[in-house]
Amino acid sequence: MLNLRNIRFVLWMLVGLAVGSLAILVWQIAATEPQRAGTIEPGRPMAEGANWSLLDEAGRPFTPADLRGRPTLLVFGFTHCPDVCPTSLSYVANALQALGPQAEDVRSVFLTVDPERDTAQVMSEYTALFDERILGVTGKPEEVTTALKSLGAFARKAPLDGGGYNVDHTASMLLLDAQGRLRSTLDVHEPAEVAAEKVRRLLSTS
Amino acid sequence: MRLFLSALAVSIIMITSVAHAAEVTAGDLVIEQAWARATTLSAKTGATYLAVRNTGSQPDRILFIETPVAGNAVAHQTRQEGDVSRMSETGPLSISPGGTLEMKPGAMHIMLMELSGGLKVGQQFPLTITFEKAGKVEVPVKIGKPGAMGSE
Repeated sequence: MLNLRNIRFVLWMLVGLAVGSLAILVWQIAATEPQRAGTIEPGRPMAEGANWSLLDEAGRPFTPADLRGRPTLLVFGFTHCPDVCPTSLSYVANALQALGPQAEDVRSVFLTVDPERDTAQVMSEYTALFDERILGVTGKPEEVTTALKSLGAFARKAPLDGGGYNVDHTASMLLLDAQGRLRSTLDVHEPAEVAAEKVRRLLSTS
Repeated sequence: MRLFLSALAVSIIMITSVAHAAEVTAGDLVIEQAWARATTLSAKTGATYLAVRNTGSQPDRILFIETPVAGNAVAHQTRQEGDVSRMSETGPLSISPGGTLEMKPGAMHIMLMELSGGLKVGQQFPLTITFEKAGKVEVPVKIGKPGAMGSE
């Protein structure tokens, strides 16, 4: 009798311990994981209810309403980034190439995470290096911060030893449908044809 | 005027360099496939990639990297943590005996800072690397397309 109660006590202790350690583990993972675009859930609305106002490379307003009407290929980055960003943008350029005439049905946006250095003029010159169809978007720093947050993107300045700074940022490229809902992500490690196929699939269903 | 002259000097260096980026040998080290990505005219930063092969029996180390096209050249490492990409200085880079130090997009690269006049596709510029043992060596760097993923 006493024995049985002891066993039950020990078992409950073990359950408590397991739940406790699991909670700590989950908490630690959540704490170390940067606030990534892990909010990438298919169907997540990116434009609905969002309130930000940016400027495109030609100085025209760019608002959440501009994420509607046709699918959007959204890339985060900055022009002082010599390694990752050119890789992403040339990937988008290759995907547009692979799409052929269908490339006209998708909007490609390069949204800066460094609005202080990336003026509309700088963005315009930079995107033209890769493909004229890629639209550079910048704006007031506080508006860019709001937009990045609402799009689920991460960006944080990291000072460099020799002066200046770099911006750590979300590397995934997002594919939004014509209603501005997140549908899929693109990965530079996949062939550009895979990206083109994802866009084609979206075009055929929207 | 002095600025103009140095800009002219840089342009001449860039234009007169030989047309193909061959491998360069310094002691036991072979430096190959040195290339960079073209940038806009006003760009302040750029990336250069190369490989250093150590054919000897002693490890060697990169001490400095210099180039007339940039105010500053430092080896950087891009790291992908989850969905976020970060970049940091690598610190001193060593090349073990029989080993190869390979730089490539998305990984290790030489970050050029304070570029003056950007990097134009098809041109070349000299990069001087000082190794601890092999000493100073000048490597011609070929400028590829803005989104090039390798030499050529």
